Amino acid sequence: MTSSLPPDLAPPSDPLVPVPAPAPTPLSLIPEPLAKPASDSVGEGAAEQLSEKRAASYAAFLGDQRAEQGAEPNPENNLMVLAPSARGNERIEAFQFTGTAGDYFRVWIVNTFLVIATLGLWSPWAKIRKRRFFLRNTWVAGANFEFHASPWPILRGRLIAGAAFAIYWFSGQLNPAYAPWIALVIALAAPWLVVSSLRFNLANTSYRNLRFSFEGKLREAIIALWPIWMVAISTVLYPPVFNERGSLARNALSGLAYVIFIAFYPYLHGKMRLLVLNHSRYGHAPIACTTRLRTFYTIYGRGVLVAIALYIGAAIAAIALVAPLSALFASALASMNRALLVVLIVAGTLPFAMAGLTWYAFTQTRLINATFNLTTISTNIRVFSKITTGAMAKLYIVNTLAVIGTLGLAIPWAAVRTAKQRVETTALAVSGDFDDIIADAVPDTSATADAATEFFSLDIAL
Amino acid sequence: MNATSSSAETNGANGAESAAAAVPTPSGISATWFDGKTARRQLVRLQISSRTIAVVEVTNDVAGAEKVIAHVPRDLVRVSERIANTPYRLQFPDGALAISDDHCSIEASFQLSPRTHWLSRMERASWAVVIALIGLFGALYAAYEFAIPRVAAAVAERVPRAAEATLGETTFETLDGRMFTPTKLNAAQQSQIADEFQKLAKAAGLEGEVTLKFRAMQPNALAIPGGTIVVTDGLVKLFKDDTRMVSAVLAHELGHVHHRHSLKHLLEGSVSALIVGALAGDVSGVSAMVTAAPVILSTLKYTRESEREADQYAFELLRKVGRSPQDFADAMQRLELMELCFALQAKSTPGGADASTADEFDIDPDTEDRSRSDARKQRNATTQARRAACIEGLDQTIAGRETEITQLRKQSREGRTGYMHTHPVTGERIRAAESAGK
Ligand SMILES: [Zn+2]
Repeated sequence: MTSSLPPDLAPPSDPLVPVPAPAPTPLSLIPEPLAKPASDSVGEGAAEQLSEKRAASYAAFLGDQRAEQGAEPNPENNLMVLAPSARGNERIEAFQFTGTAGDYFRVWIVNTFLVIATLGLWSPWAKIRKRRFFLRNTWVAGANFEFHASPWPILRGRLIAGAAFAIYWFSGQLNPAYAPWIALVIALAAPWLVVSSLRFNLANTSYRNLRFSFEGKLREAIIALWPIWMVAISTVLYPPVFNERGSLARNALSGLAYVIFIAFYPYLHGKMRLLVLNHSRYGHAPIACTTRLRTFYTIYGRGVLVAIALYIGAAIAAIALVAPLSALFASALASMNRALLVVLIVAGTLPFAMAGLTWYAFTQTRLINATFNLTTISTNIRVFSKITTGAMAKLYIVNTLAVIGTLGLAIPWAAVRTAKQRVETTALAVSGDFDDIIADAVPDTSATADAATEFFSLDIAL
Repeated sequence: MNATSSSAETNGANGAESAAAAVPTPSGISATWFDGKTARRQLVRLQISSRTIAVVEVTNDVAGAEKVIAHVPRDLVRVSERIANTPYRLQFPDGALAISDDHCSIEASFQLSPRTHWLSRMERASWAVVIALIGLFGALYAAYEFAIPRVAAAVAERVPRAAEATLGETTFETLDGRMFTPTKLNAAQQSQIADEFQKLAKAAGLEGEVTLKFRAMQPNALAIPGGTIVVTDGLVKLFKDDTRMVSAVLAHELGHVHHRHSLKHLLEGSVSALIVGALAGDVSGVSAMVTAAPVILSTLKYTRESEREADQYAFELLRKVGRSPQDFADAMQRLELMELCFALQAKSTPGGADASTADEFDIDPDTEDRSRSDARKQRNATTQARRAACIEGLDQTIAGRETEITQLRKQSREGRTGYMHTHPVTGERIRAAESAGK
């Protein structure tokens, strides 16, 4: 979630009403920023140059969107229809990511080395520096973002959370009977951890020298997360372990935790996104998202079909890849040639790994588009997102292969590519200007809960 | 897109990095101003003198009445550290902010260049990047090769054995429900081995801390966390009740208990996962394969090392009780012979690979006419029979096929691949035992 924060914070307009799309011609939009430069206007020649450059980038942004819209109008949620149509006096401000893989490689290698050399004590400094790299390189409407956290509280938080995690992990490993109980404790704490972590991360992020803030209360987080309590409780009551000698009823109940988790997964994922997008502010301006819960179930419902199709495809590909080698496989088994076996097993699993990444890209991009395109900041800024499954799937597959092929050296390259892809598929439609957005008090935050969410992998990725 | 276009737009500074910009011009350094009270963005020029900074608004007004937005002592303005080519951030005392990517002018005006933040300097210097790169790989290698196993061993030795007890019980119960069946060894066989075991445990100084259990399974012996050692019926049958060889294997298992290998592996596995996770955590959407593979590879290495360590311990212990490491070599050789017998049987049966091995890899070569489960049952039955022939009647089964065995052994040792599930049986280990026995 490091790199993705800025574009994730955003606003909408009248979302659920499927704007019958008066479809303003794209060209009518472009002169807008030129004609009415608002507060962002610059003096003289430089300004014109700047505006031209921007206008070109808007045109490119809109052009892509129109192509997509033409190919696949989405009547159901009107998301794609809504997205590209700037209205009235709105102008489009596209997000840009200016970081390069080369720059990030330097930041990454130096800080990662320091983390290893200091046995992890450098990690708060590394975290801040890396996040600053991504936020400072994320631009929209002529300004970039910044991360403000200071390293010492993070270090303290990480030490506390790390000790808690070590105790949790050790007792769970040494006494498997405790594991479900410990998981229950973490599940019970999760809403508080999530709220504190969001508060910390948003309050420490700024744009145009105004901080974001998260105002969600524990109550809202509990409403979003209660299903994981149910999962944890059913894990304690009916351990999800299949026992060949157990009764049918007992074994059926052992699946309860999985059933609850799967049934509520869209709810959890959707509510978590809505928790962030509906309870945050940029300065004083509220952020709001009107995506309905139903949408998440629709997305995951399709996700199931897509998963089936992908895995059938992967199975066919794996067979096609491995079948010609089956004679080789038999001889590898007979002669117990382990190296050959490893190669064959990798060849057999690769298609499944690619199917998994494609599925991840599918659900992720749908969720991003479905929420951002119905998100508004204040009353005059709407968020657009036009991220596509194909591009993300390709990106993830290439990243995976590159990271494996370079023994990890491509990690910074992959991170920058991912950030660029996510940032630059996002834009704002602004009517008027930013001048009306005023600052708000910055709340006190603690880094400990944020560190805990990292250790316990409570995924609050946006 | 042009990577710098956006930041260049910010303040309209063209060629900010050029030499000409090194000295602030009278008109000042172009920057963008955010007052911290609203989200308003203003283009400004910073006029920096030796004592003060004046912030002058850039207007369209041709008349040129310059409007000074702020005028503060230079010392009160905090300049952020620089990250790559992102703009400098100048934090003003009242909470206002100026950002400027005219790096040279800012550095010159604030006399930053000589003492720029050391971290920024490292990131910009190629030598530092090269050192970090070498250092990172060196540190990771050192952690993998030395630090992780040694620290894990030191920690494992200091954790009281009782801490493993519950884990041991749970593990044993799981195995009992799935892999083990009750032993069919008679009381005489059991007590003979139990006596041997007591003798070894006493010599090892582990008396009272270890327990021996008998269960029916394929030839194997297991050291379970908490100090339980399991000997299987298969092993006793394979060794034809030869106590020397059974003792040698027990000595090896006591080595695992002595060195606390189960706890050590637990620690090694989690530390490896933590390190890999920290390194790969920077990028989302990379297949889980990426993080799983290095952890699996390092685990394999640590397991191999533990076997070697337990072997060495067994050699010592056997000598202590007046036996020879040669016993261990014999035991390993017999296990290897059994493996080779399995391979031989599989090879001489049409249908190729050994059924249970094929099932592990989920490869199903003959499902044409019969239903899948029927085929599997049939194959399992054949495999069981074949295996039994290699375990209980090893000598008869391989009688007269010495040439084939020699050939197979050569193949498998070259590939260093013949292995049982928990104990790789390699020529290397046998040779080590033989040389220790001399
Ligand atoms: Zn062993």
